Amino acid sequence: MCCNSSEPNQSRFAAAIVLAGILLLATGGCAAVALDTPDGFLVVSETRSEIKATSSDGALLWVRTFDDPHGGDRAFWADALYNDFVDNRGYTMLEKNPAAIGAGARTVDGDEMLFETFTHGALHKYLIWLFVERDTICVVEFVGRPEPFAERIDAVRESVESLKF
Amino acid sequence: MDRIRKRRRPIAAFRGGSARPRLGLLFLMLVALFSVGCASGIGWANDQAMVTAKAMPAARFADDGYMQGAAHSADASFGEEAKRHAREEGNSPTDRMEKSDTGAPADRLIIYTAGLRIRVSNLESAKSKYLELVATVGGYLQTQEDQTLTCRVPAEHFHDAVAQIRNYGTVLKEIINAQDITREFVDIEIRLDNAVKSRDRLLELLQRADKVADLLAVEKELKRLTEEIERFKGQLRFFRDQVAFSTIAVTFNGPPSANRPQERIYSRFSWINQIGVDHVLQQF
Repeated sequence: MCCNSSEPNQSRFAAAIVLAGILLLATGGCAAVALDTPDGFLVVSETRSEIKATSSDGALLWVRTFDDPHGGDRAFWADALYNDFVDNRGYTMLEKNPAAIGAGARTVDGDEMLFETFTHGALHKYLIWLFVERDTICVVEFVGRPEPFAERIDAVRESVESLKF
Repeated sequence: MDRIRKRRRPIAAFRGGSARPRLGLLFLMLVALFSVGCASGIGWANDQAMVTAKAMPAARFADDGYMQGAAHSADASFGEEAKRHAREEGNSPTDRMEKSDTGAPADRLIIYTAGLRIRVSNLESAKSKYLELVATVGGYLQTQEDQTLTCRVPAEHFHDAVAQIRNYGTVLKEIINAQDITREFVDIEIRLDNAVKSRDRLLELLQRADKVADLLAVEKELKRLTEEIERFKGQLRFFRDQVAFSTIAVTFNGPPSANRPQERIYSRFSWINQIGVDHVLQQF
């Protein structure tokens, strides 16, 4: 008798465990991307894996995370980006600098690359940050015409320091 | 052995059967070695020499000799003697350093380098113009790698040349560096001067040495000093060249549209195809 009465309870408990596991995988598998957007930018879209913000003068800021099934390291992806932008898309690289987010043991090193390209009938500046941690690639893109870009670049750089993913 | 016998003769009268002259010889060698060692240390003699050289006109580069006026002797009494002399003339190292600090900038030895990235409307024409300018001022092309041309120009034309290059197009990046090497240069001059003097003294000792062991010791030291002298001279030659000729590296970029390939090849990595200027502009 006792065994028969405990069976439904056991199966309910197992189902709850499975459900909790699914929820954990769905929500806790990767942390949401977060950024203190710079002054003068309006957030137009925000999900767990991306933030889109724009300024009134057309400068655009887009933060995204991508899963990396290949497990490439930062140096590999930085080279892959450079080769694609310069060789395949004709961008001109103007600068490449090291970058870092977080602090202490939680510091994540990255790369900051500045390009320019002529597209949509005008010259555009393009600043991209690349961070890689475990199997996640986080990219911050900042695009704009030269004037608004120059005006906002310092604020965007400061904002990227607050990036979490 | 012949050489050893020949060198024994002049010292025969000096020997007189006593151990004293040999001790004297060893003492002199020790003093000579010590004085060379001093040249690399932080000492008064270095300070004095540095200040003296600071006061010298830059024109002295034309002459291939090294500084004569700032030497110190192997004589142990020289340091105090010279300090006293300098104090009497109001010319102590500190005094002179203060004076030289307010002196003309022409006395400084500076290596200028510049790096520029310029967007131009016509790459080939801009490169030709740059090379023409360099040739006009008496410079030369050092290296060329893709669109980056590194040239050396006489230092007196450095600033004018950079100003002219800026006008070729839009300056995307510019780095100018001025490295003051006065202290390093003078330090090497002092070391060279002391090494030469020590070598001269060792040559004198070699004439008077009477024991094979002494001869070998002196010759070993002479070899070391000669190598050191050559190394110092090489460093001075390098510095002179770097000061006399400045380096300008210019990277030319064509108009952005000209860099764009006719047909884009997509990346093997899907996430890379989802980023970039066009994608950002279209997805907002």
